[in-house]
Amino acid sequence: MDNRIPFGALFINEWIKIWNRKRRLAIWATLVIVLIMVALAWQSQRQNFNSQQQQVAGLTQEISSLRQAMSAAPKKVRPSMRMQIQQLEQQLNSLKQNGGAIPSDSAQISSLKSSLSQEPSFQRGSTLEQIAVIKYDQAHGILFNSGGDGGWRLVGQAFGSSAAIIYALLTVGLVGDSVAGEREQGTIAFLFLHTGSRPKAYLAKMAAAIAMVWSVVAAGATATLLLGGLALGWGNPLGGQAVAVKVGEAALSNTHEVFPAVQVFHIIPQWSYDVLAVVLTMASLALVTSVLVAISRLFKSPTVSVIIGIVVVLSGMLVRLAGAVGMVDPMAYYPLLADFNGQLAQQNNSIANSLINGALVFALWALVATVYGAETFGKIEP
Amino acid sequence: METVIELNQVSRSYGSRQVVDQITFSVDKGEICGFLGPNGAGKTTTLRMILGLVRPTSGKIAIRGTDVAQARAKALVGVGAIIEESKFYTYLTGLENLQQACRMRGMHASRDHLLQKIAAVGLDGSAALKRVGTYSLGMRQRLALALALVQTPEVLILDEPMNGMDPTAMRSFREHLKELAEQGVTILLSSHLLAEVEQMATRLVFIDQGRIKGIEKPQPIGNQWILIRTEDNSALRTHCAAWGYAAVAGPQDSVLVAIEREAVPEFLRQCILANLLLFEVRPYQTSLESRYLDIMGEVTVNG
Repeated sequence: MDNRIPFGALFINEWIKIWNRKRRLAIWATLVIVLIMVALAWQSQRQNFNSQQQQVAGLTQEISSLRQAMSAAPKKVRPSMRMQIQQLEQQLNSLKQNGGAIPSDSAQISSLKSSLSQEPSFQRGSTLEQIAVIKYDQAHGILFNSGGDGGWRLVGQAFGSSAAIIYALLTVGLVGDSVAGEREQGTIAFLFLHTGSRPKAYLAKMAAAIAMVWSVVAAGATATLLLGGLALGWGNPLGGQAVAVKVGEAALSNTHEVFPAVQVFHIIPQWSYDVLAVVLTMASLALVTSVLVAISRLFKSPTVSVIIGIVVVLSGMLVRLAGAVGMVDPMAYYPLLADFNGQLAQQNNSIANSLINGALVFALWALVATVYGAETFGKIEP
Repeated sequence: METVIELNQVSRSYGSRQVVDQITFSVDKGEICGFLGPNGAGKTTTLRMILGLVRPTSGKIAIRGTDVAQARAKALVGVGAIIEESKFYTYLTGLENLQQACRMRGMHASRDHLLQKIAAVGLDGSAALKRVGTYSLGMRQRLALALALVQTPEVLILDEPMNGMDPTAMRSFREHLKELAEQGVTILLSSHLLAEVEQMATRLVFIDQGRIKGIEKPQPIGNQWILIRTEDNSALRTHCAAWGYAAVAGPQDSVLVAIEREAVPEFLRQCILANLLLFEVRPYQTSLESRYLDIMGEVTVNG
C-alpha cells in the first residue's frame, strides 16, 4: 500500500465502478430526455404551423371578402379598401414565404424602432436586444431570424435555459449515492483496506462522477442536435444570440422588475452559443456534482442521500420565496448561461443573477464541499 | 523472535458500550495466531482496528513497529486481509475486483497473473470473469483469499476466512496457510471453527466481552500440560516463569503448565520447597474445544 499511488489509477477504478453501476441509467435517461425535448419542440412547431395555416386561411378569407365588398362599394372608399387588401396580401405572402418566421428585414427593424418611442424607458432594453440580434443576422447574410425551431436552436434551449434542470436531476441519480452506496453495500471497507490515501480516493470518486456527468451532457447535446435536426430541421447555426446581457432594476408602482439595462449587446452565432451553453452547463454540473458527492458522504442511506440531493437541486426554483438569502443557493444560478443571457435575472426579478455571482457562489460551495468531503471521508468507519 | 503485530492496552467503545477493553497481545513472525471468542466478543472490531478500518479509543497498535493510527498506509504495506463477510463490488467480475485492489495498492499485476492467483484458490477462469453478484459465499471467500495473497503478503489478517468453504477447500486453505507460515508469513486468524484452528495455530488468544481471557503460547515439542490446583495461582505462575515453563489459566481456577514429562518430579519438589500448597496435580489432555469452553465458561460455540 502506497500513499503515492497515481491519482489516475484511483480515477480509473472509480470510473469503472460508476460506469458499471450507472451506465444503463445514463444511457436511457439521456435518450428519454432528448426524445422528450425533441417531441416538445416538434409539438410546438406543429402548433405554430397550424396557427400559421389558420392565419393564412383567415387572411385569404378576409382578402376574398374585401374584394367582394370592394366591387360593390362606392368608388370613394375603394382606394382605401385596395390599400387594405394590399397590406393583407403582404402579410399573407410573408407568412407563406417564411413558414411563420418573422422576417429579419429593415421593415421589422423600423417597426421595432418605432415601438421604442412608445415603450417605457425600462422596457427598451428588450426591444434593443431584438434589434441587435436582427442587425447581426442581416450583417451575416441570414435572411430570416434564427428563432425558428431546429436542431441548433434546440441545443441552446436545452442547455442554456431552466430546462437544463432535468440534467441536474439526472446528476442526482448518477452520483447522489456515490459514497452512501458504498457504505450501505459495505464495499467501503474494501476501498479503505486497499487504498493508501483516503482523501485521494475521495477526490478520484468525485472526478469520476464529474466525468460521468460530463459524458452524459456531451452525449445529450450531440443527440439533441442530431435528433432535433432530423425531426425539426437543422435551423441556422449562424443565427445570432445575445449573451453578456447586463440587467437593471426598474421600480414600478408597487414592485420592481428586471430588464436588460444597456443598449449594447454581445451577439454570438448560434453554434457558439450552443457550445457555450453546453460548456457552462458542464461547469455548473461539475460543481453540483461536488456538492452531491459531499452530501452522499453525510448519509449512510443512499435513498436519503438522493432525496436530499433532489431537494438541493430543486431549491433553486424556490429562490424567490427566500429573497436575498436565497442567492447563496448555487441552484439559484443554474445553469450559468441563463445568468449570462439575463434569462434567470428576469425570471427571478433579481439582478444578483449574474454570471460572476453565479460562478462565485458555485465555486465557494464546490470548494467547501470538496474540502469537507476529502477531509472527512477517511473518518468513516466501515 | 521478531514481533510483527503488537497490541498494547487497546480499547474501543461505541458510546457507553465497551466493545474492546484494554487488550494486549502480540504475534511473532511466522506464527499462526488463532484469535478465538464467541459472537460479539470483539474479535472483528479488534481485527478491523489492526487494519486501520476502525480507530481505537485508546491504546496502540503497531505492525512491524509502525503505528497503524499514525502511519496506516506504511503499516499496512505487505498486509493481506480477509475481513468478515468479504464485501466485493457485486457488479464487477472477480477479476475486476482484484484489479481494483491492485490499482489501489500500486501493483502492476497482469491479467494472466491475477487469473493464476484466482485459479490457485480453486476458482476457475470462467468464474473469475463472472460478476461477483452471482458467487456463492464459498466462492467469495476463495476470491477474498486470492485477494489477500495477490501481493505475496508478509502479514495476513483473516477474519472468519473459512466461512462457507467446503471440507476440501478448508483443508487446502489450511495447508496453504501452513506453507505461508513456514515461509515466514505472520498470520492472525479468527474463526469459529476450533478444530481447524487447532490444526494450524501456534498461538491462541481467547477473547470474551472485549477482554483477553487467556493466551496459549506455543508449547515446546515434547511438553505436556499438567493441571495444578493450588491456593495461590499467582505464586505458582511466578514459579513457572522462573523455571521457564509456560503457564495458562486452566479449568475451575487451576493452572496449566507446559512441562517435559521427565521434569515433572523435580518441578513439583521445587514447588513444595517454595511452600506452595498443591491440592491437585494431574496430566491434562484436552481438545481446543474443551479448553475454549473451560476458558470462556458457558458460551455457545458455533461451527
